[in-house]
Amino acid sequence: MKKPTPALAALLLAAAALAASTGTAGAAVPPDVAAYGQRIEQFPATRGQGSESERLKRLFDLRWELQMHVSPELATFVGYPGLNDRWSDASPESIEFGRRLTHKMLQALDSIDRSRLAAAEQIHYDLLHRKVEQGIEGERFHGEYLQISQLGGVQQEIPQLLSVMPAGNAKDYENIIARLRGFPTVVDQTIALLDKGLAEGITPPRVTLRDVPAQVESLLVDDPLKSPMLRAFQQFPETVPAADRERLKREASQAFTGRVAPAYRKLRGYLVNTYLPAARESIAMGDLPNGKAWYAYEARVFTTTSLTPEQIHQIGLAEVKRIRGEMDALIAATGFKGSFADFCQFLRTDPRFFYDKPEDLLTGYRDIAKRIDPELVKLFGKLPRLPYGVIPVPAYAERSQTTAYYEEGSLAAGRPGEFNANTYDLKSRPKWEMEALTSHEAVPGHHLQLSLAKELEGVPEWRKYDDYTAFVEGWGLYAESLGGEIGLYKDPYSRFGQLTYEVWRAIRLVVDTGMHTMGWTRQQAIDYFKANSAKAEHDIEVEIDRYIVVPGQALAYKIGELKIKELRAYAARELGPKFDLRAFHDHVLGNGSLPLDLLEKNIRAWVAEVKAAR
Amino acid sequence: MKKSRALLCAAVLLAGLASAASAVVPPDLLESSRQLESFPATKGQGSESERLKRFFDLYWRTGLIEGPELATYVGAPGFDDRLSDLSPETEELGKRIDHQEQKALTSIDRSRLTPAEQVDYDLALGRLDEAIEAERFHHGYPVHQLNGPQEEIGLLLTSMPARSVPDYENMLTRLRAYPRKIDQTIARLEKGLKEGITPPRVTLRDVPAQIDGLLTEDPLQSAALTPFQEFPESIPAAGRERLRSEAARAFREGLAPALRRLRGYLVDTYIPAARETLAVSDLPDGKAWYAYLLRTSTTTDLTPEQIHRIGLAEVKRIRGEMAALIASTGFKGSFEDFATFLRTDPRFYYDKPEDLVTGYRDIAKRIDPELVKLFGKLPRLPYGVTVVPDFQGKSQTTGYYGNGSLAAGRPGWFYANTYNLKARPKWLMESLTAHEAVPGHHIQYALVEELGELPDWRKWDVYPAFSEGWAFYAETLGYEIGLYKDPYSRFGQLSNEIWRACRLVVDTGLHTMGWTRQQAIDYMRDNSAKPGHDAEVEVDRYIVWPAGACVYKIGQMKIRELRTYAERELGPRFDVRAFHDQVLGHGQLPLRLLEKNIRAWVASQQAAPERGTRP
Repeated sequence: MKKPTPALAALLLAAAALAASTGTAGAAVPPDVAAYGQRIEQFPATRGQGSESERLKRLFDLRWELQMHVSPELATFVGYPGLNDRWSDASPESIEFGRRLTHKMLQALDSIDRSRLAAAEQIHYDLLHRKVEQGIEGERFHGEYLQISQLGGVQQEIPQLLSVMPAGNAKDYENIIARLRGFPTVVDQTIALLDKGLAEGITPPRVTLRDVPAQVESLLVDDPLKSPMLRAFQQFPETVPAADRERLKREASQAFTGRVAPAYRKLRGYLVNTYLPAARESIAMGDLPNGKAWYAYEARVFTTTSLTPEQIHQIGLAEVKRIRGEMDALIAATGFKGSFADFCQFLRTDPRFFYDKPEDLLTGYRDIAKRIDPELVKLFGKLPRLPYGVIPVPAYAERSQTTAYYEEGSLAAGRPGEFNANTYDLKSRPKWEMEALTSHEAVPGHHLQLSLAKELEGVPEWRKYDDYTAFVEGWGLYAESLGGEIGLYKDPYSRFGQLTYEVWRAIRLVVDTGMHTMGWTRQQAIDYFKANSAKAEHDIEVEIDRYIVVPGQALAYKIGELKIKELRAYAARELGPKFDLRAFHDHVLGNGSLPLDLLEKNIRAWVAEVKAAR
Repeated sequence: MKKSRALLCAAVLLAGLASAASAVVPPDLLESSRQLESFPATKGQGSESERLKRFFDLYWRTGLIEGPELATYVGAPGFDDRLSDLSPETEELGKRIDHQEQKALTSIDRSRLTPAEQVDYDLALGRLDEAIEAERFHHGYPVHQLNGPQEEIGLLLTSMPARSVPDYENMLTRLRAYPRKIDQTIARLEKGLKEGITPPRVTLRDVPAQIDGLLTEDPLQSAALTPFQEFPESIPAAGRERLRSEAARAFREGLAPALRRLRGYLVDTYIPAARETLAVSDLPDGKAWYAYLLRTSTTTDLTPEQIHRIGLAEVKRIRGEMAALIASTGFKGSFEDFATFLRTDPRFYYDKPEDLVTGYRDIAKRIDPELVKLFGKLPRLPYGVTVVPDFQGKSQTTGYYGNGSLAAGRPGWFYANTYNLKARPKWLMESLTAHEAVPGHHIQYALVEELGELPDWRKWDVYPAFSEGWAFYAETLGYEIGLYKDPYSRFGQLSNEIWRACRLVVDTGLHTMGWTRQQAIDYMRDNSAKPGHDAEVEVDRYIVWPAGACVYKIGQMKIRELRTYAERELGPRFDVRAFHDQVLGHGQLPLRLLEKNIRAWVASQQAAPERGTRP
């Protein structure tokens, strides 16, 4: 899975709201944000000032600048300079402002005559239009109250953000210190939102919050300089004068002890004493206010299709059945004596499938990654410039994290892509899943797709960071199947691992819709999962809890992959000997992340073009 | 060290030489020659910039016709079914073409070109002058332990596109034509023998065994036929059997008998008669030849004596650093004792080849993400780590790089030698990876291929002082990204560094000062901790590639000097990513031109307004 780009939940909400526009600016709205908002509000009046293409570009630029100022964390992330000393504002005023802005943004877009735009611009226009409309449609559900879960929130994203902040000169260090000092406001705003959610009955299920206090606790180290948040202060680059280092270290320590740690303690107290005891016990999103409509909305947004939960459930059942058939055939081929469950038990427990040392697991991943790298030239005509590495999931998050995830990098910001591998509980990290997982998270999966998108030239800046989960995760899952074409799966176990991963994503269609709309219990979901895959038990629980707190997200993988496979089969059939796999992949990835219907339109147009060429 | 480059140089060199053999000059080469001849008369047809571009197209195409193997390596389509012709007729034509090219190029008014075009112009003219100057020497070594058909055939076929049936047909065509190239090579050897120009006999000792390695009972097991062992999915299963049997037939009926002829000739005639001296200066006109090689390979005017002295001073300096490092580890004993400890303690060695390769992959994947700290622009082409083919392992160095091409669908490869694991200590692995893969050769070569604005020929033009100087400099970048984690790997890096300094001493010693092979091996061993096998392989390399080994240290010292200069001049505005982008952003350059560029860049940075905050 890919880590959400702009890292902070608070900022995710801001980014969703940010599609938008102003009214009377509230007192607490940062002045530069308010100023950008005002310009968006006034945008319709610029009709006639330059061509419609120019106006579209101006609106995109305006929205990008606004987005950076609304989410300084995102600015850090993409390497946009000048905002590294502040946090996004999640005050009620800013949230309200964001909502109004969304409507103003729609008016600004509607003031542009789409028919006078170039074809490529029409795509950008349509994407943004759709996004803004979705933002407006989603306003009624109040996702902003869901600020903290076992998978995200200030206890995870703040340390993560601080660890990726530039630390190349003294000014960079001053920025980090400024953010450390400003941290209490972030926590206060988080608590305020949680409190409101509590009042309206919108919380994550209590069961999923069980590890969160411990996650917060783990950040409260005695020696501030040992905190991952202050990692930059452990070793300074040569560009920071020795004379400044002691002072910077002291100030960072003081900010941590005097501001950050008390804020985290306050958060922990609130969670333990107030929030958790009152959090809901049901797990279905359907049980929240407006919950049924909310889930159907999430399913549509995440899959970029109009499929209903019921349809998705059926697709899931059919896919599980098909893949189970392949798995059974593979077991038979190995000559294994025993049932499917016996084989899975063998794979889950036999020591030959496990490493004893975290470092060996990482070396194993690096070895696989470096075996895949050179094979990529067989699958792609164009590859990204950004490199990637393999690192362990940080200790403060490993217990609740999935087996692995990918974090985006940025060449401009001097940050590589990172394949984070979880080294917690090595008995739940079997070797037979490593090839499929590396294909998914690193290459030819997320790293390749996301980095290519970011390196696109001639597209508006925002498109480089615009993700559609169905596209991104559909590609990740499709990438696992590419491993077979480059000889990655060398034995029946890793091949079975790949099928386990595939059936896992089909299972998601069944259990996600099951839990959120059909009354499935957590245990029922765990049992169904276990009965159909060899995934380790610890993994299965982490997974199910993830579906519970991020409803609908898990649907995107299989739905996206099925579409890409369908399009490949279509292109191969239509083009016959003219079909070039490298060109097909270049075309799938060459326009950045797209909703599936637009991807299909693009590929069909490309196929027609190749057919027409002699 | 960079592999296919060397082969390319050899191929180009070969293309310029010749000997008897039934030969028809390639018709398109004659056509090139005619076009070049009439090029000066095109004066006035378009601007001089346009004429330069037309000349470069012609120049590049002519080069590909002369060396179709080069076309394969660079991914230029249309030549994959041909081999370079080594006949005397084509050799003569090649010389005539050098002169025609010189005349064609100088018919262009340099003063009317853009500054970038003037650089291209100067570089091309320099190349042509060098080629013409080299005519008098006639000294190529068509076969030695690192070069010749036995080395080329496997590498060539595995470098070819292998995605479609026509790709495989091209391989078959080349396989069938290869015996002719072998016979032409024999003719060249024969000619060299008559003129007293052979490599030293000692460097030929492994060649017959190398040939034997290719002559397997089952043709499909031969390293020459690797692409036929496993087919990509894009080749229909139905066609594979036919391709396989055609390849086996070409091997049995053509290639194998030709290789046996070569082997027979070498064992019965050539090796017994090969010279026993080592120095290039012992060959006819040898002193001038060595001075020429030194000048063109270092791209400086340094004399053998000057280079020898630089080498001695560097060896002394680095020995000092090594001694300090040993002292800091608390090791009790002499330099020799420490070196022996490093050479012999089992903790420093792998037992299984696969573990060694995994170790390299681990290091490579640790470096990959750090590259963003060193470069603003990185190449799109990926690279992998693979093993040196068995048939080469014994004669090859610890590792080398083979460049790839995204257009040709070929990755860069870092080849790791798994022969004799006791000669592959762990403490050399970090610096070797930095050198051969990233941030060394792979970064530099792949970036050049992707330079859109360079004329095609410049993307593939090699100045080893630049490319090897860069790769060696890249080892020292390891310190800046935390690559050397213990004193042993740091000592390994210093070992490499002193190794390159020793080369200055030994190469000039061997070729101009009467040093013996043993003297050279001893000097190398006395000054490093490297396992013994390496020293012998290395010295034999210096013997067959005169002056080639001096480029590393000379190039690295220049890049380091320029960096120090830029740091001093720019102070806090110095940005190492921008500096490296500048060094690598204009293709390979002679060192004097690199220096000119960097100085101009520094001046432009000084003149530019302070960067950083946005308006």
